Amino acid sequence: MAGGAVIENLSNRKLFVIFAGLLVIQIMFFLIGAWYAPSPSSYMEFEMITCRDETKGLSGEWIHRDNCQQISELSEYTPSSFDLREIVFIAKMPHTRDGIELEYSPWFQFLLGVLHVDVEYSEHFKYVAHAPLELEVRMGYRDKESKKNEWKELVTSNVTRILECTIAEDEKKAGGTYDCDMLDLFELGSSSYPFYLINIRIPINQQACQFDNKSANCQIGKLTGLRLIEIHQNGGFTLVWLWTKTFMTPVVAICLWWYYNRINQLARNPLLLERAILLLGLSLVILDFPIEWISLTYRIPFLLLISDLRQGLFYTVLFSFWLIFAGEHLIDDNTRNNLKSYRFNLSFIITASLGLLIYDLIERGIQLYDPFYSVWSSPTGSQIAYFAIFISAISTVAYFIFLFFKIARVWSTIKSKRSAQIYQTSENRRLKVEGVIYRFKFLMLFTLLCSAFTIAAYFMKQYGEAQLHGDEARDGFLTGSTSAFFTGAFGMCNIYVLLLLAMYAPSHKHYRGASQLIDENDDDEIMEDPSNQHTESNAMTTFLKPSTD
Amino acid sequence: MIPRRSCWLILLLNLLNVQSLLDASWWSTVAQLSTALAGHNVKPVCELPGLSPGQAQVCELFKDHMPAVSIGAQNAIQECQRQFTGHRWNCSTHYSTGMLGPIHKMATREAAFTYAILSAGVTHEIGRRCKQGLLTSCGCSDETKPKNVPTDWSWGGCGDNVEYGYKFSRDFIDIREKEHDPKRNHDNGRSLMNRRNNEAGRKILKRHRKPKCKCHGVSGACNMKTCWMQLPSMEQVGKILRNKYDKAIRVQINDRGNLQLLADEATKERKTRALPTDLVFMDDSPDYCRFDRHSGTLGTEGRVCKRGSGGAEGCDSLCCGRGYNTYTQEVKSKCNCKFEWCCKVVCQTCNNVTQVDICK
Repeated sequence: MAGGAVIENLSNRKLFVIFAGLLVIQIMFFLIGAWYAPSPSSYMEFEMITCRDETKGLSGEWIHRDNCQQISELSEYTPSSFDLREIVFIAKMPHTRDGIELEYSPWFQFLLGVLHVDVEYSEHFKYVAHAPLELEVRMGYRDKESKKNEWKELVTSNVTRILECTIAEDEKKAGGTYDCDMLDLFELGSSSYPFYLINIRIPINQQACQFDNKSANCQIGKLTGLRLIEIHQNGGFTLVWLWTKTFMTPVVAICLWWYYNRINQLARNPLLLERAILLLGLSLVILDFPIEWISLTYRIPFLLLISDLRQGLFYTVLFSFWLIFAGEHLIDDNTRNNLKSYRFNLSFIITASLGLLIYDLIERGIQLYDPFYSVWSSPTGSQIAYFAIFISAISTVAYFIFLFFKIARVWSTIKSKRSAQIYQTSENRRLKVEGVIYRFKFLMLFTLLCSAFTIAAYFMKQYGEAQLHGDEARDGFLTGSTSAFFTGAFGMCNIYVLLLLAMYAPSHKHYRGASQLIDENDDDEIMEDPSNQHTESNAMTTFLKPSTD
Repeated sequence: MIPRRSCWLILLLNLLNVQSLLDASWWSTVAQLSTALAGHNVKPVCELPGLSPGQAQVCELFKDHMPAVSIGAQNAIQECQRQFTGHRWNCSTHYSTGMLGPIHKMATREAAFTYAILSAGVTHEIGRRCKQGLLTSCGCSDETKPKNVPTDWSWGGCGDNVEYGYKFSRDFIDIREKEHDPKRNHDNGRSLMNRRNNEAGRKILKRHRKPKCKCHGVSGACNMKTCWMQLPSMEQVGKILRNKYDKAIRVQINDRGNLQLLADEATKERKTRALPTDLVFMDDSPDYCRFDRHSGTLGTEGRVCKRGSGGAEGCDSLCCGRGYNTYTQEVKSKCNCKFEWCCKVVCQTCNNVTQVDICK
C-alpha cells in the first residue's frame, strides 16, 4: 500500500485503542501531579524588623537579628539623623522552625521577593499618589559551613519603585491604613545558598525634598513597616517535574528519530507539513530536556531565562504548526507547500514571540546581574514593557482570528468536496474517503479536546486555589490540583505531539522498521486505483484527487 | 523603645500598688506579662495570680510567646477603647490601671465583646511575631498542609502562620474555661459563653483575611501563581466586632448544659441558629451611668461629652440626664507641621481656646 499518512491506514478499532491508551497515560500524568507532588510553589512571609544602626551603614557591617538594636515602634522613635539611614529593616531568610534553622535548597529553582509597604494615614506625613520609593538594599548570603553571622555580599542595589496606595474616605483618620500594591523586590534565578539576609534602608534627602517634593521618599507617607514575601518552587514539585521530563525526553526523542527516518525514506522531498511536524517534535525535545538537573549541583542563575525561552520556542512552533496544518488542507489554494505563502500570518506569531522575547530578555536578562532590577520600575522601562506586551497580545489575537478563519474555510471546502464526489465515485472509494475525512475530523477534534481539557484544568486549578484559601483549608483531592494541572498540561503537550508524529508520519508499506502503527492492511481494493500507486502524497491530496482533476 | 519600657515600669508599679483593690480579670495579669518578661527576671513569671493552672503550664512551655500574648491583649484593649469612645461603656478598663475591671463577672454583651477582641488580638500578635521570626517554633508553620505532603519544608513549603496563632490562642486562652473545677460548675454556662465568644473573635480574624497573589509564570504570566493571606488590621477586626456587638444574641443554659438561643426582646423574634462568628451573652448590661463598685461600673461622671450631639457621645445620653459643666480650656496643639519622613515632625505650637463639656 502506498500513500497517505499513518492515520489514513489505521482501522477505527486500532485508533480507538490508541486513544484509550493515551487517555490512560494522560490521566496518569494528572494523577502523578495530584498525588505525589505538593503545590508548585510556596511562600514565606517576613515582617521586617526595624533596627537602629548608628553607623548608618558606613561601616559595611551587616545588621542581623543578633546585633540589632530593635526599634519596637517606628512611629515612636526619634531619629538622631536627618537622612534616616540609621533605621534598617532586616529580614533573615528563611525562618526557623521548632528551633531549627531552615535552609533554602537548590531544589527550589527560583526565589523571588515581593514587598508590602504598610502606610498609615497621617495628617503630617501625607502620602501622595504615585510617590517614588527608593530603597537601599543589601542582600547577603551565608553558606552552610560558615559561622552564624558571617554574611557575604551578594548584591547591593538602589531600588526605585512607585508606591501605589489607596485609602477609603472614611479611613482618613489617624490609625487608618492605606491599601498598597505590592512591589516586586527581587528575583533570583537559582537558589543555591541556604541563607539570605536583607538589609533595607529608606534614605531621605531633606534638601531635595524641599527643593522638589517629587524626589524619592518625600511623599511616601507614614511608613509603619515593611513586609517581605518570598516565593519559591517547592522541592517536591521540582522532583516530580524533573522526573516526568526525564522520562518523557527519550520517548519523544526516539519517536522523533523514527519520524525523521520515515520522511527521509521517502522518494520525494518532505512536505511542508511534515517538516513543520518535525520541527514541532524537535522543539518539544528541547522543551522536555531536563537541563534543570545541573542546577542541583551547579549555580546557574540563567536557568529561569532558558526555561522561558524554551517555552516560548515551543509555543511559537506550535502556533505556526496549527496555521500550516490548516493551510495545507485548503485544497483549492494553489500556493500550498510553500512557507512563503504563510508569511503574512506567520508574521503575527513572530511579532508576538519577539515582543515577549524582548520583554523577557530585558527583565530576566538584567536580573542575572541585578536581581533587584525590574523593567516596571522606571517610566521608560514600563512603557517599553507595556508596548512589547501590548503588541504581543494584539498579534496573538490577530493570529487566532486568522486561524479560525482558515479552519472554517477548510471545513467548508471539505464539506463541498465531499458532497461533490460522493456520487461520482465507486462505493469503495466513497467509504474510504468518508473514513479519511472522519479521521481528520477526529484529529482536529483532538486538538479542540486538548484545548478544552487545558481550559477545564485551568479552572479546576483556580477552584483548587480558592479552596486552599478558604476559611477552613481542606485537604481534599483538588487542593493538590495546581500541580496536577502542570503535570497534566505537560503530559497533554507531549501526547499531542507524539500523536502527531505517529499519525502523520508517511505510511510506507515496504518500510522495514515500521512500527505496529503503520502495519495496517485493511482492505486494499482501493489501491488498484492507478493514480496513487507510485506517488507518495499527503493525505488530503490522495482522497481529493479524483474530485480535483 | 526606651520611653516605652519606662512607661511599662511605671505601669507595673501602679499595678502592684492597686492590686489589692482590684478584682482583676485575668486579662490584666496577661497584660503584665510583657513587663514581667522584659526585664531580667529571676522569679518564675508564670506564677502570676490570675493565670489558671493550665495557663501557667502553657506559659512555662511557651515563655517566648508571653510578650506576644501581652502585647496582643494590649492592642485589643486599645482597639476596644477606640471602638467605644464616647459610649457610656468605653471599655472602661483604665489603661492607667491596666485592668479590665470586675465587669466581666457578668455575662453581658460587653464581656462578650471584650473576650472576642482579646482572643483575636492575641491570635493577631502571635501570627505577626511568627512572621518576624521572633518565635522560633512557628516561623514556618506546619499547619494546613494536605495530609499526603511530607512535613519536610523543602518538599512542600510552609503552612499558614495564622493557623498557628489561632491554635495557640485557643490552647492558651480557652484552657481556663475548660479546666474542670467543681466549684465552678454552677458557672458552666459562663464558660461555654466565653469559649464561644473567644472562638468568634478568632474566627472573624481568620475569615477576614484577604488573599494577595503574585503571578510568576513565563514573562510574569499567571499560569504560575502564588497566593498568601493578609491579616486584617486590629482596627478592621474591631469594626467588625462592633457590629457583632450590636447584633449579639442572648442565650441561656438549658438542662442539658448547652447554650440555647433566646428570643430577642425588641423584636420578639427567636433566632433558630447563631453563626460561629456571632457574639452571645446571657445577662443584661448594668447601668453604666453610675459608679457601682459591686457591678464594676465606673459611671460617666467626669467624662467629656459633646453638646448637641444626638449620638451616644452627646451630653444628653452620656451624662444620663445629670447635666454637664462647661469649662473653657486652652488647648495647645501642633500646627504648621513640616514633613520629615517616618518619625519626626517639626511643628509650631498653636493655642486654641475651646470649650469642654464634662458630665456632672
